[in-house]
Amino acid sequence: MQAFEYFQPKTVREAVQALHKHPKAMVLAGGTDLLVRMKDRVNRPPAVVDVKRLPRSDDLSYAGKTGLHIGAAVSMRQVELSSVAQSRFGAIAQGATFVGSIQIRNRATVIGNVCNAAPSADTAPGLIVHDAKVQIAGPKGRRTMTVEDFMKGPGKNDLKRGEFVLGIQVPAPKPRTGSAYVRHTPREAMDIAVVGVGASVTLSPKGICTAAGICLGAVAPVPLRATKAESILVGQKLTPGKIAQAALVASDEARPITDVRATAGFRREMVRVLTERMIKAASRAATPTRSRRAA
Amino acid sequence: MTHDIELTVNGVAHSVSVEPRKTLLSVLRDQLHMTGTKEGCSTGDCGACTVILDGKTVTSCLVLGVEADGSDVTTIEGIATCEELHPVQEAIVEKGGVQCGFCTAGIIVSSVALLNENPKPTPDQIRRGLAGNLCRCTGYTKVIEAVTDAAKKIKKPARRKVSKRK
Amino acid sequence: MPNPSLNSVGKRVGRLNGPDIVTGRTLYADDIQLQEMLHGRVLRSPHAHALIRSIDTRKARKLPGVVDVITAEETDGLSILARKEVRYQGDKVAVVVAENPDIALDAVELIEVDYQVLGSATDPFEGIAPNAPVAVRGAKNEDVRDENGKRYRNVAARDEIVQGDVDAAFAKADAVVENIYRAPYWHQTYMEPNSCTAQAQPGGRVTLWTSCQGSFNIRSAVADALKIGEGRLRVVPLEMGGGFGAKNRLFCEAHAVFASIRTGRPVKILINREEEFLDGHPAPGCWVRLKTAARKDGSITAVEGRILWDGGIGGRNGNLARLVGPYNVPNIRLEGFGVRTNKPTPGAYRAPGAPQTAMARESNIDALAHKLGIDPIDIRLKNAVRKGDRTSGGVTLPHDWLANTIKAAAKEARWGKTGLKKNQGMGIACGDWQNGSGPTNAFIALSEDGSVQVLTGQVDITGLHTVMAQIVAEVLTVPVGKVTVQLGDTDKVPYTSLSAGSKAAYSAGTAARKAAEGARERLLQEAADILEAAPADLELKGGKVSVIGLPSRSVTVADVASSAMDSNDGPVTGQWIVGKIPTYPSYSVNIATVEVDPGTGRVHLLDLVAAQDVGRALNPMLVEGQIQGGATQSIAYGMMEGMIYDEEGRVRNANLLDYAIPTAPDMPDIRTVLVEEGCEHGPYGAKGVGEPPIIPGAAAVANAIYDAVGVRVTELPMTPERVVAALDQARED
Repeated sequence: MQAFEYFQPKTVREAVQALHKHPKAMVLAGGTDLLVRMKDRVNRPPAVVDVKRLPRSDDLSYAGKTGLHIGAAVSMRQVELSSVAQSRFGAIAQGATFVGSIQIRNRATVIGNVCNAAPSADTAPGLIVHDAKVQIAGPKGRRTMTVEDFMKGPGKNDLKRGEFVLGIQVPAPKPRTGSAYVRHTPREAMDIAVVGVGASVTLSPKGICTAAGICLGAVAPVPLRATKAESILVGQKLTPGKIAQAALVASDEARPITDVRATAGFRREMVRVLTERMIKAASRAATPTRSRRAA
Repeated sequence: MTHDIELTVNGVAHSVSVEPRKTLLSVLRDQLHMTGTKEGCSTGDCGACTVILDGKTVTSCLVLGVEADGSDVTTIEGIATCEELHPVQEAIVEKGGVQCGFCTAGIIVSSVALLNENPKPTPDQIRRGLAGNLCRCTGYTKVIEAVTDAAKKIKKPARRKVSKRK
Repeated sequence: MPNPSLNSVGKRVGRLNGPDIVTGRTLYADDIQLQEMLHGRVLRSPHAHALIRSIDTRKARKLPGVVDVITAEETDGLSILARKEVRYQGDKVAVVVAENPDIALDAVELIEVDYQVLGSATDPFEGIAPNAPVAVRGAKNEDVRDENGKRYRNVAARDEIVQGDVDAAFAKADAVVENIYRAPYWHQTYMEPNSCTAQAQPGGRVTLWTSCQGSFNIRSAVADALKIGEGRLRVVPLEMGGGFGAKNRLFCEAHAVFASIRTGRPVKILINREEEFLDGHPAPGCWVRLKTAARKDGSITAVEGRILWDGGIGGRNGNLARLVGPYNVPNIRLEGFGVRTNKPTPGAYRAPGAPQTAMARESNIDALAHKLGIDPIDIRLKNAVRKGDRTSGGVTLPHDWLANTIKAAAKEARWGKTGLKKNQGMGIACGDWQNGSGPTNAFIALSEDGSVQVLTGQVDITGLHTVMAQIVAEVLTVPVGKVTVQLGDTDKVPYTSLSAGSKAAYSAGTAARKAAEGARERLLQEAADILEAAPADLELKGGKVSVIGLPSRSVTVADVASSAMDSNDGPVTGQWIVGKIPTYPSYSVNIATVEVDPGTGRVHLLDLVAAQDVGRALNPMLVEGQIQGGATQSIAYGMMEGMIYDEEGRVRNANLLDYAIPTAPDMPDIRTVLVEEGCEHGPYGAKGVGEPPIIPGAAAVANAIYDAVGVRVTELPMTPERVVAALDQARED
């Protein structure tokens, strides 16, 4: 790593000031991506602002009205182990569980995952199908925007000078909503998604799909919402045929590239296979069962 | 510019002056001369540098020394007491879970943390719990056998030894 | 099966240095920290092939904390750094020596090198084309021509095997299989990156601490590289964090010694994980075209083909006979090329060349079995080398080792008797390896309390010293816990060859046994004086020497050892120095059970049986561990591993995230079967065990995939994408 100055603000105001004063400073949360890039000297920030000691930065809480709040320093492991995340935000919790190892998940943060804006970010599809919003603090005060809009391209986000992400808010899902995320990797663990697919569905009491979200990871410069595939599901009973049709449309919507992990063609095919599986998994999660109630 | 930090390692308080770019791993090995924790990749992918930081396992190659200011760290040197090995250490030797030994410190620290959280893990839970600790020599079979065996031993009277360490 | 008459040998003894390892006390090479120590870091070529126009080190030298910058110009005609040409990405260009590693890295970045990029050869198949770029300028190559008489490029070595009448055999065959196989560069991926520390002393000697598989090899190689006398060097081998063959050769030892001599201070050079991938000594890749013929009864009648080894800048060739393997084949026509490519010269990796060739050979045999409707087990038994047969290694077999190992594996795996579900399949493959032997030694001394100290020059790679202690304990009838084994450095013991090629326990185990027998003789002689009996009337049993038939007249080993200290002949000792001892091949058989997800192409390994003919297991637990580890490496080559080079010859996966090795959840428990039919030359009947386990795994998985979903994947690793492509292809056909 190149030498840098280290700041550890205790208040949001101090953090904003430090970031404003050092325009090329980078925000350090878990550090599991940033420090690797700094060691490779891909990133050479002259200053690093550690946001882990801000008040309530490790706050992970849920309220019926406001939904799930994820603080700036909340780790993947916290989300993975959270029973409310597991039961109501399956795609997010599953995404967090796929990341690295326990050691990595104890450090890596959900917000860092979003800010790094890798197309393969494992929590992004879940956050996006759950319509999550980032809360941004900056010199001009606070603002919010959707995670979908916030991630701008590989490694690019919407933060301006002096800004950082304070938290993520995920609205409480409607009744009979379920979501799921899966990724394809050659290894069981410690890997990067070749393709990741998150899906959510909301069912009417009669089993008609009233809302659907499908988000594809690692097949476009940003996690990509497959809106055409979603619209095929809405208003329909989720028959195997409908689901297969939506999956096929999703694979058309993907814009994959060929890289060291896979060819574009294989990625497109994985989108079809995994989308089909995830719509089914989400709709199973949306269907109330006794055991799920009990949990 | 250096920062003066304080950290407790295996129950002993240390004051160290560190450059921000020094990792916790480097502070432990190069400044405190505790070389039991190993560097296998420096990118968080192998787990050889696993330590317990404030109760949670981390790859110490991806933690800055300055971030650990005020923290409590347990390394491989703090797992055994002066008198006896921890049951995980004992089982790793007795069951052949060590070959070259370079990943072993990380495997033991991860296993001890795993058993603290889940005293009766299934073999599959042990495998998942050690996913971040690469071993090239053993193929994992004997490592899993050793941790399974250690869990059985800890359940009996040895419990005290584990809970003594934070 | 443990021999009931043995007390220590054959027992499941844990590593004697285990307690030190598991508490973090054992010193590995990078744990060496010396006063005033400097740190070296290497500037490496970013290009696969280029000419160096100029190097400017001025900025680097000015950086505070930099002590020395070494380029070829500073090395006075040595070839430890690139002078005019860099031949692969990672080729060493300069070494910076600084007060700490961060400063050294800062300075490495400040060195300006002007390169003129040249064309590179990165694939052996494309690399031999008559118009391919020249991989290494001025290198001597073979004159080999294609069918049009045009000279192939970059062929550094060529060999062939021609035997019998191949064309006639193919004409008469009932089934013929021909496939093209490919395998990539494959990294040993030991967990310990290389590190070494050199300390030049006043008077000209240099001590070098390093992680290596043989201290004397390193001593010779450093002396050669620096053109200095070997006597100037003392090489201290440390506990090795895995090597698998790679640490037979130098990494930066010569550079550290050179830098220490120049600066007069200790210099440590650590190679990081990325550098390990760029400039290590991985296993070579290859391109193989293999055609195999058989008769209706399953007898293999002919093998014909060509193998192109991806030989790096050295153009290293391989052992062609491995394409025939442990089978009797009357007609053979094979040709092998060692092709120069712009990659580091491959090194040894456990059973060098055997896994790659086994993939081709065992896949073809499997395909023949399916074509002829013969069980894959039966076709192997039909052709296996048997008792009385002469192997390609030139020995006559005293037992049906291979056939018995195949049968043992089939029995353990319940071959043909398990209910496999849809998309599940089982596959078998075999491997053979004749272990090496070479100079080694053991020196034994007994203390007054009867404890036994053993000194050897043989580096312990996975428990050798524990096995030596077991052997010594067995001979001297003392508990293993009474024996300690120390590794001597090059100043302390005679020349000892590498711990490689499944040699260590075989040869050093023999030395330990012979040395202990010498010590026992001394013990009896000394006890004879005490007991006032002839040595021939004494027996050593349970740590006591007694008069045969009069157990009350006895004396303990400790008493004898103690009394010997004041005797005319002195302390009880024994020693043995051995050169070469004859060896036999050993055989390994894997049976893999897999489930293929036809949607994603993911192959899940459900079960693996690894059977091996080990002669006798000196320590079954350690033997099983080696087999399990070797099988895992082979399976991983089959399913996920391989270095990826782009068209410019750059490594695209030089880290442990993108170069995937198996994690714990990727592997099932590996079930081992030890086939123990003693080998007459090894200690207590043992054979070398380190190499055979790594040979058949990838091929066994390939054959299991075929059994599961009916497609044959012929390129390693058999990634999900390749499995899906094969399934798509099969649907189109």
